[in-house]
Amino acid sequence: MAATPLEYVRVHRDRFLEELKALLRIPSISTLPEHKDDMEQAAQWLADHIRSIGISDVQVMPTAGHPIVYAEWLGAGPDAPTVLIYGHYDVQPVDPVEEWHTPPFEPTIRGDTLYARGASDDKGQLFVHLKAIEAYLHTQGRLPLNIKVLLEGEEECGSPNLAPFIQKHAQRLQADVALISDTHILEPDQPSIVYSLRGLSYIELTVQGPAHDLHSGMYGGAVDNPLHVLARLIAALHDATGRCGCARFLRRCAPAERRGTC
Amino acid sequence: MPGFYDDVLPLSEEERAELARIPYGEAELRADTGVPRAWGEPGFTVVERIGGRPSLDVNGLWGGFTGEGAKTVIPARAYAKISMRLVPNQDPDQVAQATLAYLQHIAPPTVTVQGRIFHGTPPAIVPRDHPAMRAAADAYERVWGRRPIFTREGGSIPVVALFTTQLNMPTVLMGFGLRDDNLHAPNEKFYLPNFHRGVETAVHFFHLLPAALKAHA
Repeated sequence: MAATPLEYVRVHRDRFLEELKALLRIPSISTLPEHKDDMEQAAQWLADHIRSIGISDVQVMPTAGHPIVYAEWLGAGPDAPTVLIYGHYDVQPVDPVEEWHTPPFEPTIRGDTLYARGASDDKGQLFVHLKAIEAYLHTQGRLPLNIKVLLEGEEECGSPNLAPFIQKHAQRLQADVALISDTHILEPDQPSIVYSLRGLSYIELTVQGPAHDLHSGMYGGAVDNPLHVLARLIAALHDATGRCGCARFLRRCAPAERRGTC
Repeated sequence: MPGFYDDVLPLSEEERAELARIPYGEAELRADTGVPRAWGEPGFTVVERIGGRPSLDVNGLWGGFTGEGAKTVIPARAYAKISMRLVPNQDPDQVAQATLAYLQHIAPPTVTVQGRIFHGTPPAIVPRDHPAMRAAADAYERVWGRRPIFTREGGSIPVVALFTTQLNMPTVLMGFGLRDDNLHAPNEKFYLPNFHRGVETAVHFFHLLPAALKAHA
């Protein structure tokens, strides 16, 4: 009988893997409508599993898309900190399926490695935390901190229903720290922690010249060509060294100088 | 009007020294991508360019006649899709508007330039000395026997921005995968020794976090 959580996880390694393989067999591809039932099944599997590790307060919560599995264990009391664990149980499609050495939803161990769709993104990584929780609850009957678990089913299709869910349940989701395992470390034996992520801006540009396409014999040389202009605009976005050209322009040039310098 | 680099949080010397520990540079970039040589903002390493500096990429350009044979046409319109990767403290909407305004400003009077701005994602940063980060680093060290290196990711994880903006909560990204795990590709995998180490790291983290936060409070 394992006395500490660490002893427990070492004793139960093989069972953990078998359980993970059961989760990986569910083809929960969120982007393909024909897998809608599999999404429900994966959510239900996780809710049942979370109950089995000792958290009774767990729900499969519907959204406008695939459901969110939400669970909490607040037995450490109001003075203890709370961590919100986020993961996602949906996976990417498997095309081109003929390039898989073993079927994507038949988890297979070769050497030291487990192969399956979702093995690391993100079923395998979210499962890490469920097993750590289990280790505490099954050896000590409690955790040193409060735990909230939010498992999403739409990460691979852009999480369209997550922001409204978080907004609606902001009070309930309050925690001191969020914890996510959905990234990689530098080398197998060199761990790393990502402390910054880049953001994203996206624009679509339309350059309009004539009102409709023109015959280059009838008009060529007398009207500007939107493709030429677009090429010049794109070229102006970086200088020759690789620095973003608009940057220097916007920061340093007085308005009157702008057209001349850039 | 604010510029592209105006709100960029500069990399500290200490941060640059930490990032320099990452075993990735020009040679690795060439091997990864097949490009004949690296490119990018002068004065920054490959790792700094990807994780610590903003970038702008044209994702697609189209317009005019691209079919078989010859068609003598001056097209009415030309299009481009442009993505910009942002770093703290750039604001996605502000950068998109500034870039669009710049392009409209430098365009000649022979055309009009219209832009559509898509929904963006703000960048995220958690101080490396945040108590939760220290607890995470200690947890990794207890299991791996090595201190983790703090890295910056060039991509975005929108949920992290949601947690920051809507719940005002820092996020600890405690990854256990490997760079070559074939995410989104055939033969996705998980290196099992690190699955087991991951469970142990989480056990340590749950134990270490309360004291770390309390000491900080």
